[in-house]
Amino acid sequence: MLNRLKKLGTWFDSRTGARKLVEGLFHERIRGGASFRYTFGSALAFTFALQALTGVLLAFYFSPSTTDAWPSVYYIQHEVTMGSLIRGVHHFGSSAMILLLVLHMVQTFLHGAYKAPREVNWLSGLALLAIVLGLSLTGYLLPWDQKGFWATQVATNIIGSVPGVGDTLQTVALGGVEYGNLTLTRFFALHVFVLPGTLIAITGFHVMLMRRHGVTPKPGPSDEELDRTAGWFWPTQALMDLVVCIVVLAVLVSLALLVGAPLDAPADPSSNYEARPEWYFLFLFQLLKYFEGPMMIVGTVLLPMLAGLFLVALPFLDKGEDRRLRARKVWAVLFFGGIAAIGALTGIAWLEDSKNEAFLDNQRLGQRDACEAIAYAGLPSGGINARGNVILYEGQRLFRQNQCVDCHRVGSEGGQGESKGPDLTNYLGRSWLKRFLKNPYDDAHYGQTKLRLREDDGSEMPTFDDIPEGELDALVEYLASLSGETYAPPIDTVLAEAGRKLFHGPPKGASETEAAQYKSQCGDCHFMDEVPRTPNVEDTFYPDLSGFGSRTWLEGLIQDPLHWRYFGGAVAEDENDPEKLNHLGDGMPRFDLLTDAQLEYLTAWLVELKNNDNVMAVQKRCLP
Amino acid sequence: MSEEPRSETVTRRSFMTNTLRVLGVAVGVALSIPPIAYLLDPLRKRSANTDKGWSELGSIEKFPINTPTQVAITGNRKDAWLTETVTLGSAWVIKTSTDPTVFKILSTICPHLGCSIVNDDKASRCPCHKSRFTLDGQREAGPSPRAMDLLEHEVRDGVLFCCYQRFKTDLAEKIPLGEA
Repeated sequence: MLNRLKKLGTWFDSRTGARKLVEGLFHERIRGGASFRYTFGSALAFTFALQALTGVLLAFYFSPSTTDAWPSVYYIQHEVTMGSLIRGVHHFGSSAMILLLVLHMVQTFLHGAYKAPREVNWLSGLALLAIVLGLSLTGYLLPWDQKGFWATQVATNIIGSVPGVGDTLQTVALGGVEYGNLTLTRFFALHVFVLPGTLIAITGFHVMLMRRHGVTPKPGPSDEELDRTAGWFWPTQALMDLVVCIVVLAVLVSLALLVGAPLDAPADPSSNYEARPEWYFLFLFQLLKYFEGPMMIVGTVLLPMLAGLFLVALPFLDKGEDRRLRARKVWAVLFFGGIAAIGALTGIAWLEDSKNEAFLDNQRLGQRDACEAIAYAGLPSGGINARGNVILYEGQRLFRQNQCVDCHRVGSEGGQGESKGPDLTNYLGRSWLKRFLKNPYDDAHYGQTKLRLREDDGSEMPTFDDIPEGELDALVEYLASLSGETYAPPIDTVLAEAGRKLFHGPPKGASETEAAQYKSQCGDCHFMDEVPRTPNVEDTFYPDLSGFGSRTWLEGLIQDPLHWRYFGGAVAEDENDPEKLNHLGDGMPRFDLLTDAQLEYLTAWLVELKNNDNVMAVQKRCLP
Repeated sequence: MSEEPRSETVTRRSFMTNTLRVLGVAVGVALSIPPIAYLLDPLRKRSANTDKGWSELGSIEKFPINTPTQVAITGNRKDAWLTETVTLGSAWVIKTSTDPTVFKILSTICPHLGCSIVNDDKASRCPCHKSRFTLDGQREAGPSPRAMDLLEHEVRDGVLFCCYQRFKTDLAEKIPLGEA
């Protein structure tokens, strides 16, 4: 077997010369000996290979459109086997690339490796730096989450601020004047084809040049000394490289498993999200704060450009043959001064943010939203619709945005406003209905609303706290069944039927034994005939309960709570005593400006409240 | 390798080479397991995308006797990250007797290799590989291994409902997708 393999190897080698090629790759002489100083380049190549591998894997599940990007990333992160690991390594890998690039560049500077004859090595390295920064920027937007969306906005607006051509550049970069599908498809194409392709080509060139000129040894020792201590790439340097690569891999895997790649809530152009770029762009962000008005261009374009020009020009400005640092003090001060300045700006940006309470609050809200979006996307009753919206998450947000939450408490949140509506914890759930029937006017139900004024003339809804528990359960079951919604546990149809009889009272001509089953006469006040009635004109009437608790019923209630179907009759304006029942004062307002989709989301969330555990679990996980 | 520097003895060298090989293989294995598990994730989610739900096909009165009528069937489907009401497929509906509640509902998907079956007055035919079936779905000729697939249905209050399902192709037995 082994013999055959060897034979096959020999055959393959005789046709291709593969052995010589591989030997050529590994048998490189290193003057001055192998060293961990030379491992950064290999570590970079390894990290890039990891990025390519994980990137290709991500592309198996990622869908670059504004509706599908977030959901597909959510899917990778939370539903695909090992998806969070793959995405985590890719996410932290981008930081590792930047970190290793800086180390590689510092090492190159320390050894003076940019000097003749290696100027082109240096320049191609700078091109690689630019491409890696471009990869970071384009990759950031792809999940189409809050952070990527808002942070990338700043970057592309900076492109727009370039005098003269900015506008054109920006439009081309975005695929239009504003963010949309074309921005995402462009960034995707750049991120997965154009930039990595170019990166691979230039890396090949860069490595080829490195082999041509060899590793630049430590400055100082004489040529004889370097030759005497020379070592080989294989196996000494290779082992060092591999050890460093393993360390990088271990760190990335640990970060992916222990910290995890962040995924913010889906991008929302209407939110007040305070964006910060990734840590390696923070210095640019900080720089922007110092240049106002027409001077902005200094921070956004001129200074970064000057720094770039300095790096490009370095090998041509610093032409001395002595590679020792003391022989190139000016350049060392400029180079390390620049790095120190970047470090300082990054530090200041970080420090300012960590003391900025408004920013921290904003971050906490962002984290809450992210947590809720992910939690609701994972609920079987929720899901993500074709518009890419996490239905229940959008509903919860609308509940907050429309200030419903000020009057209505849900679990541990809300109900802090001056006027109070019913507590909606477990709204329309069995226990909510039961407590409501026992006492409609306790503080958690309608006790703090104007419906309570009904008590003045005795026309309020009676309390059902003295009827047998079994009958109460039947009534609750019947009320719950009216919505047609799925309850957990499911509606007990036998019990609901018993409740129906209790609710409506005996039919005409019922025998006495039959009539005994019909006791409570709720139906005397609550019609289910959907016959329109006019407040103030007809006698006092009460909410019509046809379709009670269904989505349509809730949508109507939200849009017009004083419609005859809901509380129109129950809190009708009293012309004789406007003070008494002037419902327009602080009753529930009409929310009639919501779009159909918004109504759908909001009611979906309200319907979810009845199966209390889900919403409470999300609250517990996401509210601070 | 005659140039080998003296500072590295042969034992040290072979030790390093062996370490490199072992570590290299270890990294290679470590790097390939998660991607394989990740790529094979669909095997873990074998169940069909469609919930077994009832789709409404309309009033039983609109279907003529013994004449297959093609209807599109809509239903709720979870497609990876999206859950939406979409067109799931279509079926031939045949009222097979004078009793207006007796139906046969045949999936338009050919049991051979999944093309869409069309019909004329005499027979149902698959245009791809020439499988032929009687109007009520019995296998007559051609490569199809079984009769056209019957879909479950129900009549409630004069309205026809059907449970749309897809089945594995090219098997004599009718096995729903996602089942063993």
